[in-house]
Amino acid sequence: MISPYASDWRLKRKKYGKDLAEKNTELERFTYTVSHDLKSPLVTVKTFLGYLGQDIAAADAGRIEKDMLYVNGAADKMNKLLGELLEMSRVGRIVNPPSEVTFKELAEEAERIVAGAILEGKVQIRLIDEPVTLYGDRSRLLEIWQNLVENAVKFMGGQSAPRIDIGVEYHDSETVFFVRDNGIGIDPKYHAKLFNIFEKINPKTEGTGMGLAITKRIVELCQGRIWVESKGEGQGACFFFTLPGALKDKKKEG
Amino acid sequence: MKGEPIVILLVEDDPAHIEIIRRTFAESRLANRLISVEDGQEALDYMYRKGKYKDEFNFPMPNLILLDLRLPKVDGLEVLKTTKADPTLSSTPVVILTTSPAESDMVKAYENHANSYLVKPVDFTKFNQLMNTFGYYWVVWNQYPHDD
Repeated sequence: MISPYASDWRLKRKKYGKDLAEKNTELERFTYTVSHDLKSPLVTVKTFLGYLGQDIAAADAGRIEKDMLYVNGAADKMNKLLGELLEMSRVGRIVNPPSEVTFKELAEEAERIVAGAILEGKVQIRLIDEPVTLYGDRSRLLEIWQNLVENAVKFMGGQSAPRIDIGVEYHDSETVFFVRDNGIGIDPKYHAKLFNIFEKINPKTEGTGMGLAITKRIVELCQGRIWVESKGEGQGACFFFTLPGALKDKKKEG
Repeated sequence: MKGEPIVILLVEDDPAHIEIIRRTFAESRLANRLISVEDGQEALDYMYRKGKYKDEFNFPMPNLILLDLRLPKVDGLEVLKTTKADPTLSSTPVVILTTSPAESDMVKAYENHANSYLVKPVDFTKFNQLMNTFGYYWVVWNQYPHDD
């Protein structure tokens, strides 16, 4: 007979094996993406420097100016990508001492940080308060809400009555946070790609496509999950996430 | 060929790279028409004449697809798979043009019937040479199935 101890150990080993395989795939994709996305602007810089040489020889002022714009643009892009990568590596490596903070405080602070864009987009924010207290790296936790609210404001599209709801739901015994908007929505076929690094669904939008990857990383450091629900374009989107590792008991309601 | 320009559909999301490819083609003065789309979904919409690509005159079926691998929305590899799995499109040559020299990408591309795999060189002279050779091979010498 196998002792319950041994079978327990076997299960654990299986789980670690799976976790490790997942981490490996993630790392592989990470290296791949970084090398590809950093090489791309490098090709641009080198090629347009070549054009510059030709255009200087031909004294073509119009083209020289244009070439320089491309070189500049590519250098800026590399700088941004590197900055975001550094930011990503800081998550989990540099940890502020944990402190207690309520869901309400985090949501309100995120709202304050994004206030400019919220005002500009005339977005109605509704905070549906729940007595949930978190315990963890406050500024990282704040980043989750900040990124999600920022995104929601950014992807409102032509919505005439833009609205964002920030709240908490309880799925069975699980505390699930959400940020819901009535903006442009996301086609379900892109949902899986959304949280990858440097992933941009619309190439024309600002940013490096790193926000959601960083958000996911913070959530995972709290042993949580993050996912999106959206029926498709024009249907709004709702981002859900759990933070089991940062939850302070929530049963102090009465 | 009857002097009809070769229609090339370029699927590339980086505006700087689109400009480089446009310039090399313009300089080589080869008879071709370059149409570019910025992501994998657009490429598929184009091939299936969906949305804004209904008009056959402005958006003719390409003789050749020049495809980047890392693209927004739908990956280049997905575009390749879809194209090659469809009997009405599978005979259109697809040339991969990417910054990735990764073995795994190359293998996957060939497994899915890519017709050629080119890596964008970081060197200006080489990039120019590559695009010139590409132009002569695919625009001047290559014979296409839709030619009578």
